[in-house]
Amino acid sequence: MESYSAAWRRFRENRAAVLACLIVAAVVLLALVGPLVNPNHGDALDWQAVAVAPTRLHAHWFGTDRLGRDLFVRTLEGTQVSLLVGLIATLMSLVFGISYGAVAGFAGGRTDNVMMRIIEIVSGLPLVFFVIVVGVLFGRGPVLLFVSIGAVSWLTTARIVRGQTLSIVRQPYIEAAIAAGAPPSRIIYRHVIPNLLGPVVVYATLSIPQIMLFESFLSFLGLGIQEPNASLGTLVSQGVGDMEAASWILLVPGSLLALLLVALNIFGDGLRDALDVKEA
Amino acid sequence: MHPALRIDNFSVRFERGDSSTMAVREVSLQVEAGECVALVGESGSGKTQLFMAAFGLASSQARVEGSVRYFGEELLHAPQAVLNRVRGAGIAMVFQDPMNALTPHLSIGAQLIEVLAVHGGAPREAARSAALAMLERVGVDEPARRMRQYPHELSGGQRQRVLIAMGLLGAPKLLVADEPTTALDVHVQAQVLELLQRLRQETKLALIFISHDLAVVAGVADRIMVMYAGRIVESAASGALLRSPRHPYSAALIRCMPSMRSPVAARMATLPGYPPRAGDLIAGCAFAPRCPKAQARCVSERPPLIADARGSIACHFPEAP
Repeated sequence: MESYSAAWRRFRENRAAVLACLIVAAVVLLALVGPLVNPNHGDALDWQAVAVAPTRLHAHWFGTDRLGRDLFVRTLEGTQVSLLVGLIATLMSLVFGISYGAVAGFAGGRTDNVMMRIIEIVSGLPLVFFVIVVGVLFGRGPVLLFVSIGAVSWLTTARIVRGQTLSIVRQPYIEAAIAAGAPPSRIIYRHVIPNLLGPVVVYATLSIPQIMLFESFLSFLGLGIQEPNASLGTLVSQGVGDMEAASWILLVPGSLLALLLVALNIFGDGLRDALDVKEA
Repeated sequence: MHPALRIDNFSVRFERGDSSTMAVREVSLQVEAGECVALVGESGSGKTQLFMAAFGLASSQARVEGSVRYFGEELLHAPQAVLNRVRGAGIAMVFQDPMNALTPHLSIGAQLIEVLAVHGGAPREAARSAALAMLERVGVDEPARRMRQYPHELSGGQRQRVLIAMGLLGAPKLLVADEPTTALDVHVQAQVLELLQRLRQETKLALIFISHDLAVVAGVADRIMVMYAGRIVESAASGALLRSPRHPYSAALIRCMPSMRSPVAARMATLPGYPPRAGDLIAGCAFAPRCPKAQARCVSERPPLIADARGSIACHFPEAP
């Protein structure tokens, strides 16, 4: 395996990936700091300025929606929620996927067989249907969204991790570790998992935008984040209603979402090329 | 007093679907504490598989039979906890492939310290200095710097020595060294052999040396066992075996050794043909097809391994000692 410094050098040479990385960082920073700096409040209704277009002349930089809420603050708060969903669901998929996949791959044989069949059964469930059922049973809300997306997205991670583990387990250094008397748990977390992180990190980076897009899709359908909270998806959904009269209500959150997704994807691709992971 | 290792009637079979291949056939051997035994044979003769399977390291398709006792304690089909206690602390293995036997993402120091950590005990600082001392002992230069380095920063010879250090760090009573010097320069090879000899005298370490190189083995081993197609065909004290081999295969191996006395221009002796594949069914002597002295009986009837005063031999027509 090559050292990470070589990977870092390759990443730096990839201009598009570096730019995408900077854009992601800038959007994250803006989403975190913006609502604090701006005098407007995301929930406050400004009846003096209902659905005004963006100008620099008044307090609402990106205009307001048709209830008079400041679109700048609302979009950034929505970005926070969207990023949070992406991060938490990815984190969940990493934790479950890595432990499940590594155990299956390391155990091999019948255990592996049963564990992989379970994954196939679960991944056979239609995702939207699953989210609706969970929502009906437990009520809608952001926590539920994390859980239901996370519960499904770990399946692919587990498959990738298992595949990697199968090839790592055949390496002589695993044999050497067994011969040195290391118990299976120690071998998994010290010799197997660190060696498969490369492809997993790449997959995770690429899955953040996918999950964000899926969250937006659910919110657009009204299944995701509920009023008065907003994610980029709910904002786009509201914007679509007023698209012809007040296009900015759609364009502001929509373009930020598109920018973020494109940047995250280019960043993930750059990471993949730098770490030299075959197919992700 | 039990011998350090006693293997009886040990067979290893690999089953894949409905085909099965015998890698090791009814091997029995015994190694006393402080003794050095060499196992010699061509590649594919089963010498590595014999010990991998004996210590529970063979793949899950392997079926093992017989008995493997370490100081009287049965290891075959023993629970995982027993194996983990014995492996590394009691029995250590040095693997033949120094390029891949170290975990790539851990520093040399971390991997050495892990051996001590796994077998409970030494506080971190003590483990560190023990690891450092062991690196020094196996002749790794700049041991303090090597501790911080990663496997890919070391040359093959250095990695081999790190592996030997790792094997010795748990203070084992039995060391199985699988071609430990194949990747090394000749002068380093001599150093490593000397180190193993010294340890053997100092700590009564039982040493099993797996090799295909009789020249390396000749200097270190008390006893040499010759393996062919999964069976031991001859064993004897190393001097006797090298001077007057009784099995035609041993004799052929010795003839193939380049000698300092032979004229430079002389053609080196080679052994024609190939060893049988592990899956082949052999009714008679496995070596018969390549044997210059083979007769009809050799093909039809397998010679049993007969023990006598000089060691043991499996041949219908052994050379006179």
